[in-house]
Amino acid sequence: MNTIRPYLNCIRHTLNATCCLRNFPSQQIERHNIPEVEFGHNKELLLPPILISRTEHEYCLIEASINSLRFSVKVKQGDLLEEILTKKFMSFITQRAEHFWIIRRVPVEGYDISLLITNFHTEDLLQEKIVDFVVTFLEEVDKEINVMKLSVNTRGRAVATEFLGSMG
Amino acid sequence: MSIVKKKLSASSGISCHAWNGDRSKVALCPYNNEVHVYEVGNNGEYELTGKLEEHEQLVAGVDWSPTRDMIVTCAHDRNAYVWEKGTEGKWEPQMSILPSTFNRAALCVQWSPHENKFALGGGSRSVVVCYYQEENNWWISKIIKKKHTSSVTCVSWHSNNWLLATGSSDFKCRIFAANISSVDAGVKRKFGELLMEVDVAKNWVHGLSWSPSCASLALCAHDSCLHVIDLEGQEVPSIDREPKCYTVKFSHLPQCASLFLDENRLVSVGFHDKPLLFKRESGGTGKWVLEGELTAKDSNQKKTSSKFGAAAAMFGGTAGGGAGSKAKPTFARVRTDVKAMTGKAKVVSKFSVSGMDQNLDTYAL
Repeated sequence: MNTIRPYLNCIRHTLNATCCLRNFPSQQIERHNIPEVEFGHNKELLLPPILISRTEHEYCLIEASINSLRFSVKVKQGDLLEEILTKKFMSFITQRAEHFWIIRRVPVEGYDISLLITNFHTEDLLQEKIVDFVVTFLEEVDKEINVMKLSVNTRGRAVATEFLGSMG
Repeated sequence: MSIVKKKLSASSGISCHAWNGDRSKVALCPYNNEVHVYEVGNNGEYELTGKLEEHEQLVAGVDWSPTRDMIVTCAHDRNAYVWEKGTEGKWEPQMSILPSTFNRAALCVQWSPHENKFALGGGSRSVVVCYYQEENNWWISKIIKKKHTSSVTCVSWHSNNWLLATGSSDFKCRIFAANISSVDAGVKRKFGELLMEVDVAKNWVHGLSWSPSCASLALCAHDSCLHVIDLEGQEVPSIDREPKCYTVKFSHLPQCASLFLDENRLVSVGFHDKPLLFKRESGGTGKWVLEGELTAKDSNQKKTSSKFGAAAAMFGGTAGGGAGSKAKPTFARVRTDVKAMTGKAKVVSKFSVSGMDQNLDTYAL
């Protein structure tokens, strides 16, 4: 658990610095206010994307713009079981995206889950609390998948013992 | 130094504010389509005396002309209105006729120093200068286009009433000749002539301000730097000459707006939770340095005098465990606007800060 700390700290500092968003109406569409990072109409309004990786299989991408920020995560998937668990867990969360406010319904290609933070979120909520939420979320996902993997394995072993015992 | 906080917005913040000439009234936008006018009483209480309701979307800029007592507002619905007090004491809007090419949100507005025209910047990558036409009793406009490649986020007038500085999200700051023949008699310049283009900022420009003598221009940009452009005594900048620029890098979050307290001191506000104070180095080098944050002396904060207390503080309050030893978290919300609260005085000793924290803070140095 402790080895994830530097990774999370790095994410926290980067998010704190990139989460400086302002209200910025669209330059393309009259009377509209759209997240620039999603549409990418204007290159000058986007910041260079930042990729933070812990290992080859576990990384996240931070794409910032003048009024919005997109944060995409790839969770570690060592084996088939972890892959299935991550998929199920993420689909559970994205189906309830409206309760989480900043979760994007569809993740960016190549990632497991994406978050979209706009200037309206940073105005209504405290910026530090949003960053706290993101970091805690990552921590919890890691923990949750480990726990689920353990319980699936334990259950599998118990079932196998019971089944093979009754055969003999 | 003291800070007075007044909660004047029920929604998420204050997008902009402006004071009248004698600083007895303030017009502010509580982050919606209205502008509220407050009167400040002798006891420091704010009383709501008027509401300006004509805009349809978020009001992005407001300015109050000190002697003619007129308010100009602009909003994301791409309109601008000039408000004047009618016979019954109610604020009456006057339409301004904007060019059809100014077809995106308006982001910033400012009265010229002689109060006979105002500049408007917006998302249509252009700047509009509006002036009054008596025959028709409306405000008509002239547009400067094709120079900006992104939204114009801030405008600021030189004290000579015809030079206009603009900051844009294409990372550049420009100075234009914005003289109107019927208003500025005697200025022989082509309207919209680009006189200076500075490319020092490495990111979006959020705020601009002239020094009291207009010898230097300060730029707040998203690159966490303060850039001060020195015009070196030139009356009119020329496009061929590279302007002198001093850049101060700081480790805080980017700043959004700035205000010169006098020729050698400047205060800025932005994403950092406290205003920052900058100073020009003495010794005639002209260099600027970060002096520090502006904090009020808090009488509640007790100093740890005992040895144990000091040791506990060293371990981040874990040894003491008391509630008092914990560091208070600082929750920052972006501050977007800073305005002087001393009228014609040479040195600004009082200013107000507004932003996304619902409060209008007044700082007295």
